Amino acid sequence: MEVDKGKGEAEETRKVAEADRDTVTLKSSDGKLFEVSKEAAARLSTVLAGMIAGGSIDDNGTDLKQIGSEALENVVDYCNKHANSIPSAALISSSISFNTAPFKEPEEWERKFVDRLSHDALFDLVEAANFLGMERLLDVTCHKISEMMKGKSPDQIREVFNIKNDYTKEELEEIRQELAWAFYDD
Amino acid sequence: MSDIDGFNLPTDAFVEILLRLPTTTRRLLRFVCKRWRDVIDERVPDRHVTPKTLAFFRKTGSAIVFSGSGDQQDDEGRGGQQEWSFSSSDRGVVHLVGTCNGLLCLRNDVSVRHGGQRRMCSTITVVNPITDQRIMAPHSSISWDYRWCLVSRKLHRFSFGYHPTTGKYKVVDVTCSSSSSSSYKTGRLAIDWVQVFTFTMSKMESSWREVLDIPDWGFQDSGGVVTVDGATHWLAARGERVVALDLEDDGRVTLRGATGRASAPAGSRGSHVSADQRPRTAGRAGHVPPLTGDEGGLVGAGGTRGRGRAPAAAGTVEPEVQPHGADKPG
Repeated sequence: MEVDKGKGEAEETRKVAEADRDTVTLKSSDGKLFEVSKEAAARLSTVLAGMIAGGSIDDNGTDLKQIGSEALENVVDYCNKHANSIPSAALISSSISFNTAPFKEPEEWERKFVDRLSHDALFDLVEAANFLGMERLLDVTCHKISEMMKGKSPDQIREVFNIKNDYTKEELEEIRQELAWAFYDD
Repeated sequence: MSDIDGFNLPTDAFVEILLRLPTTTRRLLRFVCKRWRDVIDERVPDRHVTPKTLAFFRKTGSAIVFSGSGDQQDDEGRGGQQEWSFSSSDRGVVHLVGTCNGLLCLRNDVSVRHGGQRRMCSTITVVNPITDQRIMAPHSSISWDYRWCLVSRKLHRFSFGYHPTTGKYKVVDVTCSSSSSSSYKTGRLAIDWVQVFTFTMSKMESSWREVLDIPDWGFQDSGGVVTVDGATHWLAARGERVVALDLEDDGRVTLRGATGRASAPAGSRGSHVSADQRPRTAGRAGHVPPLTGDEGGLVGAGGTRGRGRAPAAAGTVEPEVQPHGADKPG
């Protein structure tokens, strides 16, 4: 009896500790586990916030089948770095749509964070941020990619992003003509 | 990296990137590949930033235009307003003929020496103030063979319009002259010719085209030339009728309405308006319903073409068309 009771209490205590844990464990598509601050995850990702609030976080690692380990590592890295930087009130809102939210320039550490990424890692991170509903990270990564496009000719852009030109000469000419008067009727 | 396509972002994420780019860059990105063009056209189309002309100031030698894209901030964060200036060649005077879908049609009047005489010459330029692209209408093949459209003893009245169903932009030049010494005072002029310069977003014509068979109703200068609803309008010489040139088919000229006052138009040949004098081209395609009378009360064809936006029913339009937005002769 006594032993059982003790066991029960231990169980109880463990559960309380679980609920109070300040990290969540995330599992990448290739099965790697990452720990991230619960507070930062809930603040930066609308999807993770929903999962935490809805109790669908798995202590043994919440499956994120769409995200590879490299991208997830970057997500977690970003969250942890963000938790350490001063949280800005403007970034907390999760209801502002992308189209209307004023974009705040990336901070220095965010700039460095995306600058060190390889091309593929950057793209994977955009995808992960998009999937997890991480507005700020999406902003920062998309900003980086848009910077890569600015001031480049279509030829240069195809080269940078390894895109095949599937236009015929005539089709290109047609668009070129449209461009000159690219206004549409309301 | 695959050699097929290195840009394998989901469309939603791609759109997030596109939204962060200036419109001008987005337009350029349409060249990259078909998928990009389709995503841009579908998800972030240009019409979000169709600029409106907010103000037009002119001074000798130049004009300043303020454009805005409604309440939306423009991509460079300039609060939705953009200043653009146009420098006149030869320190002429720049007039605004009209605006359409963000394009401006400007007339540059310059005094030039020609054959020992000083003459005023006009050139027509259509500009896109956002991209700073411009096209100059070619010189008129009718008026003369110089690079200018000449305003000598003739008066050119221009109008700029857009025909929504054909997607064509038109600059209409109504060239008039006095039929008598008093006609400048009364504003009753005779039309020498009407010519149209047409361009679309994909091509422009290389010359002005004359509208054949302009009926002899004359031109009332105080009314100006106004393009609305895909047709260019002006008043007949005595101001009793509205004449409409349908821009869908440059050859078609109709009366849009009349006061019912029976009076002979002050055309140089002094003839009556009658069914016989309908422009020959009008009947050509069978668009124009039969005229119901030969004096006043004429049925305009405007209401019958299915667009449902013609301004006038038969006989109800007083000749009150005034050139709001159209250029007043300076």
